[in-house]
Amino acid sequence: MFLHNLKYELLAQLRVRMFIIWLLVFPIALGFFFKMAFSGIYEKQDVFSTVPAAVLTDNDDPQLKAVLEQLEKSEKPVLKVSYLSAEEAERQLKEETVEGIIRSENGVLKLTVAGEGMNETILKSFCDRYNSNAEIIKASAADPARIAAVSGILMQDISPVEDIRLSGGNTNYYDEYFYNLIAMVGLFGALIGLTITIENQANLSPLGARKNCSPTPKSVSLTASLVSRFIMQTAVMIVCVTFQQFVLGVDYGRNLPLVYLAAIFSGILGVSLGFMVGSLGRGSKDLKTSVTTAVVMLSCFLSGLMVGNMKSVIARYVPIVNEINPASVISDCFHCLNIYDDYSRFISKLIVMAVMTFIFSFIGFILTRRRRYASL
Amino acid sequence: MQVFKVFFQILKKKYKSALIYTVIFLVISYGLSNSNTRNTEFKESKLNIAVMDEDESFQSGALKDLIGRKHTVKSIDYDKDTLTELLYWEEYDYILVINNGFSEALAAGKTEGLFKEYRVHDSFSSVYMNSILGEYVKTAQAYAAAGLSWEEAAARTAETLSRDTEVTYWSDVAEGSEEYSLWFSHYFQYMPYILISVLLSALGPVLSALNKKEIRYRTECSSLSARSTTPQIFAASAVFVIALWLIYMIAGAVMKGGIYEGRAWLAVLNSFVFTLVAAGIAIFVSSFSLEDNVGSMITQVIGLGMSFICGVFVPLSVLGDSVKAAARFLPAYWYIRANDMLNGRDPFSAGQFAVCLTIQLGFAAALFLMTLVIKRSRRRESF
Repeated sequence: MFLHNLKYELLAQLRVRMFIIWLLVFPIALGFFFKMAFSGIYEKQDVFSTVPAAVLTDNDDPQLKAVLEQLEKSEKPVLKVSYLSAEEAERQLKEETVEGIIRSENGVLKLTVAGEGMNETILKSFCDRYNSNAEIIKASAADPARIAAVSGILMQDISPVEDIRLSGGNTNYYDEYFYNLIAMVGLFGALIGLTITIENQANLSPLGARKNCSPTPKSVSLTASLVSRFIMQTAVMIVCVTFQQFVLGVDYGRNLPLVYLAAIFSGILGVSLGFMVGSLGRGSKDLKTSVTTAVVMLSCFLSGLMVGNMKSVIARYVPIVNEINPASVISDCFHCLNIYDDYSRFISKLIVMAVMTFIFSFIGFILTRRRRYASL
Repeated sequence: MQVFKVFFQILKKKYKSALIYTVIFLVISYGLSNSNTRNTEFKESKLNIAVMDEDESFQSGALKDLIGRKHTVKSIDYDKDTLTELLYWEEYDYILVINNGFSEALAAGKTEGLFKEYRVHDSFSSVYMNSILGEYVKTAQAYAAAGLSWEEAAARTAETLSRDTEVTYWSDVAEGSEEYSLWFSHYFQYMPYILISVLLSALGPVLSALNKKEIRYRTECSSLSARSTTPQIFAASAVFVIALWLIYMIAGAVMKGGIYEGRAWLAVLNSFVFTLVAAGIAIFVSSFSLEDNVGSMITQVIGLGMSFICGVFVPLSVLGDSVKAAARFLPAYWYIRANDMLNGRDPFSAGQFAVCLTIQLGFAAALFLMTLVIKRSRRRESF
């Protein structure tokens, strides 16, 4: 009986072609837009690159030239210097080809910038260092015996900081948008889940009325409906991850099978969410669709689909929301897989998803069973 | 007025989704509107630095004090997973460990293994702080080499490294004005997404219902002519769209704390023009009479897709040139361009602002025309 129901539920699902097509087009189109919007931003905004600066040629300062040459020869040069006239430097500053103009006045550096950010701060820090070194050398000039030692120390290239990398994974946090996109696609499975109640509730559809007067036990027909939607949504999630990984080239790290597993779990969670929302109250199909969409979008907003660092803001003020918000839990799964070498965090998130799925489905079943109609 | 009334009767059943979107948008806008004003004087980036001081000596204390003069320094003691999260989400820009034995190593003239840095991103902050720490070590050792005691050397180092270079801040960029500050502009910044979402989820289904094959056939063979029904649908849509826009404008004024002034009125005009575009999109999409589920997904694809590539959620300045080139073919790009001119991100030019409005109007007109063409071709099909 169950398999018979499942077979026809699946066939019925496949025949709603428009919906299936959109369910597939939806992640593909949004993934494509995201890729367009975010490609290269991390490298441009966050990863350090040499700061371009102009040095005015009006006051020739051989000391400054020597320091800059030494700086540019270092393994990871901080500055890339162009020697320009005042007019040319101002033009380039306006066009943002250089981040600042350095000029030497009586051996003291002065800086002109057109913005406030790390690039300008790094330029100012260079000028500060140059000026303070000049001051120290000037102060120690009173004792010629020590001046060689002092300038020797100041001129050396040292690295007193040992760098400990905490993650070997992909640290491009703009990829969080793609994790959130998968979360949204998974949770949009709620729109499929919603159809379970619509097709099983006599007051919402003629099909529901027909099912209610059939001899098949409700538990069997409902389980078949639920499982068929799980299968459909699983297929959608597989297409979604495959498209992101192999067509858009989103870096999901080395654990691709686990990425698929988390995505499938998220789809199942979405379907069960829709099943539960659909079972609540006696609202119309339209109202339930609107409520489901709003719940999914709010959940995705809180996990950072629209504002990238939303999850960390929430972690600061109301951390519990990140633990129970379905979209946050889903996107955290991918985040943990990418950032951490051990799987304990990933597994705990997966367990939270499974528990949520169970609770949503359980509530859905409880609310949908024993619904009686005076007349059909 | 029959059709006009029917429009609102259907809307009564569909208004809830618009209401949900509107309430969420207004609550979030209120929360997101944080102060973010520009300065006329150059200010260095203030970093959030976490320090784990294993040395706890006079020297390490002096170093922390020095860093704390320009940046926010907090002593922490977290496990590695927490540190990873803090760095990944940039809650902290730099996590510094002052190694045990730092002061002895510094006194011995050592220049390696004095500090550790926990790192997730190869960021500008890392490069900057590493150079500051290197400079601290060199300056302290140089003063010691010049014959000062370590206490004196630490004090002189702090004094020397606290001195600032003279910086000329050259701002060609217009400031966000009092009438339309940068923080208030966020309210209008997110409006394209919400207008598209609300109109597609409320106006769209109403028009879809009126466009349904059976209803359309019935209306077309009734005594009412198309000349009477179309203007009624148009008038009802216009009343709904304008009422919705007015709600957002009044809510904006309440959030701002008074009537709009100066440039803020231009933002109001810009939002009105975009409302026409959003209505055009809703009318165009609804002419295909889609199912609610499909409509809901199309709403997200159009709303989110356009918002991401047109600079609604991510500022236009950080988007790549190719993305911006593609975004020019979408109306939200011109809305954001106009908004950026008003809030001071781009220099204001009345001519450019008018161009942005005209292009948006062009998009709206094109959408209305395309809808008419589709309707006409469908009418031909039905006879």
